[in-house]
Amino acid sequence: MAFMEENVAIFTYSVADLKNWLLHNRPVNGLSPEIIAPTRAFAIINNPFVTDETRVVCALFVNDKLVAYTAAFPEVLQKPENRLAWWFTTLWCDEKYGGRGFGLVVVGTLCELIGEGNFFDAEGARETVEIFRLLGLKSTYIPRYEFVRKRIHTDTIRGKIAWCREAFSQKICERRRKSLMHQKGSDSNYVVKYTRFVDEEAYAFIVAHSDKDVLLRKQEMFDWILQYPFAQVSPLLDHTPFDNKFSSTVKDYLLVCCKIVKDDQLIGVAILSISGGGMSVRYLYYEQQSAKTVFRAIVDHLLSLQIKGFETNDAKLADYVISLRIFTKNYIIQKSFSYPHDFVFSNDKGLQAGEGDMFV
Amino acid sequence: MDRKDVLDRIAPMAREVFGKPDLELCDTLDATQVDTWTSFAFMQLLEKVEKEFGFKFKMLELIKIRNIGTLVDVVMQH
Repeated sequence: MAFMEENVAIFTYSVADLKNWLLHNRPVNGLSPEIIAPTRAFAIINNPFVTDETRVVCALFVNDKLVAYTAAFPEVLQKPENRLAWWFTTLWCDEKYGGRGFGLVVVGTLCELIGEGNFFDAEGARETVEIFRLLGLKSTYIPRYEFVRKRIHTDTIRGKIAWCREAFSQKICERRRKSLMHQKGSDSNYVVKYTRFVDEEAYAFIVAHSDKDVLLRKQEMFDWILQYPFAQVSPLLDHTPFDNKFSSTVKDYLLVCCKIVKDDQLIGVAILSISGGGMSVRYLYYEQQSAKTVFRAIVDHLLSLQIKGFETNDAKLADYVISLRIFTKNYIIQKSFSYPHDFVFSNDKGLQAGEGDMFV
Repeated sequence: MDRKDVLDRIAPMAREVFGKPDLELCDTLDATQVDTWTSFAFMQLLEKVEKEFGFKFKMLELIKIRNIGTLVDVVMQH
């Protein structure tokens, strides 16, 4: 059986390449919105830890057709102190070329450029975790607590019974939500200040309350995340053409830093992302003795915004939300975290939901 | 080490990772002919081949592998 000749080309793109393509409209070796969405490219250009020479994207073409790509961005961590960490964001392979290991090729090529021992990945798919294992990373799984309000739609008898049960428990949840909104106790005595950056006071608080975290980002990294979210907001989403395979276009998206204050004292800092009727607690730091007030502030938020889905990595916040019985279902999802061999990960420490890629 | 030797050593590993004990290996066998030849299984095969033959694939070598025949070619170059 004769095979067609394959013309395979692999390109890596630097920040200067992204600037030429995005800001000056110059063609750069097949770089296109298919490979990296403009919003994401613009964010990476503005990353505080890149220079023009930093290589951040890798794409593979077969006979001039895009078949795989990946991207990564760097940061220097606050904890472990001044550790360089590269986070992978995006990995796509054409299904027609499935089983060829092209994902491994693009990730491996970028890893060779970055240097062994500097790359991390959070929330990777099964194949991605396997790629990182082959590239010498260790992996662990971190619990994420997810809450939903949903109804089951099915025509079977069992499905109808389940639907009735769901509808009933949803009504009860609604009642609890309404009564909770009007129930003001000592936990409701707080003020929330919203910012689009992490100020000095908030960052000092974060540093002082991050002893349970295995990683801590620097202040400029938090600001980068808040100022350059990877999501592009398109209110008329149904009419928006998708020109990139790994989409970062959503109908609505809000990423905000909340400083929770009680009696003029900062008691908690949360970075929340809100999109598509769901809320995610991306980062949460709080005084242990004021935990209930901080949790109540977050719950008041989700009640007033009529949030349908909620997620957090914080087990205590999850227990608090479960105790209120305002969602019909809750799950624990195990999210992967891959890290270099010399990185020390202890099981008594956790990871914030926002570590790594910051998309919804 | 000739092609047949390499193929004979790769065959049991391929049968194991693809979960096909009766799989007959030939040069033209590729992902389109084996339903269990997924990216995940292929990466496991690469790892086993590396251990069996005592070398690490370079990224540019992986691009050339499109079937069992090209896998054998790359192994023989080491």
